[in-house]
Amino acid sequence: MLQYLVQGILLGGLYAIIGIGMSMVFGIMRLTNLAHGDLMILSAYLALTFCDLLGGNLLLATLFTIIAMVIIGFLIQAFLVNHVLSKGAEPALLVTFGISVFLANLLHNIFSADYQSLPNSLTNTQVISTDLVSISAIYLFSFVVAILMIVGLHFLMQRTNFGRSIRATSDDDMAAGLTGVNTKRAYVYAMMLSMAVTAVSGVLIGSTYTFNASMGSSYLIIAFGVVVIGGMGSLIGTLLGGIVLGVAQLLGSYFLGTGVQLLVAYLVLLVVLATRPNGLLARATRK
Amino acid sequence: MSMLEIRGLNVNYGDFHAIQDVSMDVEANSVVSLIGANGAGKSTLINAICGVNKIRSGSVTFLGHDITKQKTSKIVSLGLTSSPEGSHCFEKMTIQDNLLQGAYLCRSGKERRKRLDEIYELFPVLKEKSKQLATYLSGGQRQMLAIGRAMMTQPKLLICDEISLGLAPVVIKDIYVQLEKVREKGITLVIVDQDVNRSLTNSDYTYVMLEGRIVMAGESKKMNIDEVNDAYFGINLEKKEA
Ligand SMILES: Nc1ncnc2c1ncn2[C@@H]1O[C@H](COP(=O)(O)OP(=O)(O)O)[C@@H](O)[C@H]1O
Ligand SMILES: [Mg+2]
Repeated sequence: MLQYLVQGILLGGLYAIIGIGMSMVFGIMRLTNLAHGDLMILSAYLALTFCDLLGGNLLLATLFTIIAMVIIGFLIQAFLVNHVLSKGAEPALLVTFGISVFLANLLHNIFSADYQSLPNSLTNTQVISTDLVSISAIYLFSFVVAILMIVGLHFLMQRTNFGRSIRATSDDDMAAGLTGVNTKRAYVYAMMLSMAVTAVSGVLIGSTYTFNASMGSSYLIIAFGVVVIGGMGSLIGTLLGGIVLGVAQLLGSYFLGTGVQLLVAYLVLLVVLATRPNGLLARATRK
Repeated sequence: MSMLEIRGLNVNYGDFHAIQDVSMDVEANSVVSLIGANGAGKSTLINAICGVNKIRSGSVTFLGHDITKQKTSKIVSLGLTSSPEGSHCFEKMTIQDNLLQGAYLCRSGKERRKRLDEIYELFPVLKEKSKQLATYLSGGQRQMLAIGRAMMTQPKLLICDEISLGLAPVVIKDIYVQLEKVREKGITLVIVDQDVNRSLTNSDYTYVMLEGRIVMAGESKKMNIDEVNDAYFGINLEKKEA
């Protein structure tokens, strides 16, 4: 039981990482990025490719992946999403759906449907291994990275001139313009930042699990669950949402068996939606 | 040359010709009133000047710069901004963050703090509530916040749209006292107020708008309030047509 609880919490860290990029885009642009999962899988493939090119240096490959994803974020926002965002939420949603389908097919064509994994030395290492609990290094690492990213992003958004301008644009873009913000550019920066985070998520997911081109949608669902439970767009909520989902899944597996664990997690999602439709932390930390 | 020169301006909402051949001048260090009934086109004109609304034809020149097709962000950096109708405060941000956001283009944190202190001196009530979210402010405080935020950009020309809308008389009086202090800091003002009398007594020059056009303009002191009222409601025009 303790083992399941600890693992659930750690898994929550990974789930939070899956959700952060999507949460940011939603929080800032009120846009549900349906391509979020595929962008994460794209990051994993990019890291795999860079890793091959760089002789197996995953850390350096991650750096290159972040750079590549930031550029992709720029292209997506400047040339696709910004053009339709002013026309309301639905056209932008459709654009992200288009990106999702395009990416899944592109990755399938380039990399085939074979399962891949990133060569991360943490994957099969245990940090603690007793009779009672064993903690795998990759989960612990992901949990720590999740917290660091969330704290870092929170600081960036709340305490810096840049973060404030992004919040202002999200709150009232006309008024933000009247304070000198180039609002279209602010959205581009926000998307680039979100893609940097997504790149890190992709690497961690690719290190923890095997992946193939068609798995984007399953990660989108997890991200969606995390973002909804945490309170759409709240960064701290993302961590909470991840942990709730992770613990629900692992306890579900403990009590009811591995077959239904994900079902239990989504049942919790439904219960949260029914009782707190704005998410657990919506009021307290919503930007 | 005037600080702000508008020549032959036309603005459309689709087929609707909202601003029709408007020309206007604002002299540096003056206070200019822009009055007109609801729907006359005052806000549309202001938003066109600030780059929020697209201009179909005509020109806007500010301090010698052609800003007709400029982005709002660029116009603000030249020293022109507005406190828009309905305040448009950043609802989910604190009062302090609202104000600091006004100084977005200022790169020095120290300078931003200095400006913040100046605004707090002008509007002490905002200092008291500095950590609260803007959404919890009263109407008068929201107006002060919008003006304060606009001042944080260090404008040379500040346009205040619907300065008194929905506010109690005491609060309006307060705001005009504060506007006088804004003017003393050397900021040129364009003020939109529903009240003709107040507009004439608090400005150097007045423009009257009706159905998208400027129908009367002159030095506020020399204007006859009855004539202004007629122009405001378009009574003069109807008489002519009859
Ligand atoms: N976004 C808009 N789309 C279409 N018509 C508009 C829009 N905003 C204002 N109008 C119309 O333009 C005219 C001028 O409006 P406005 O500039 O708000 O007037 P005022 O500020 O003087 O009350 C009105 O007839 C109004 O209905
Ligand atoms: Mg108006």
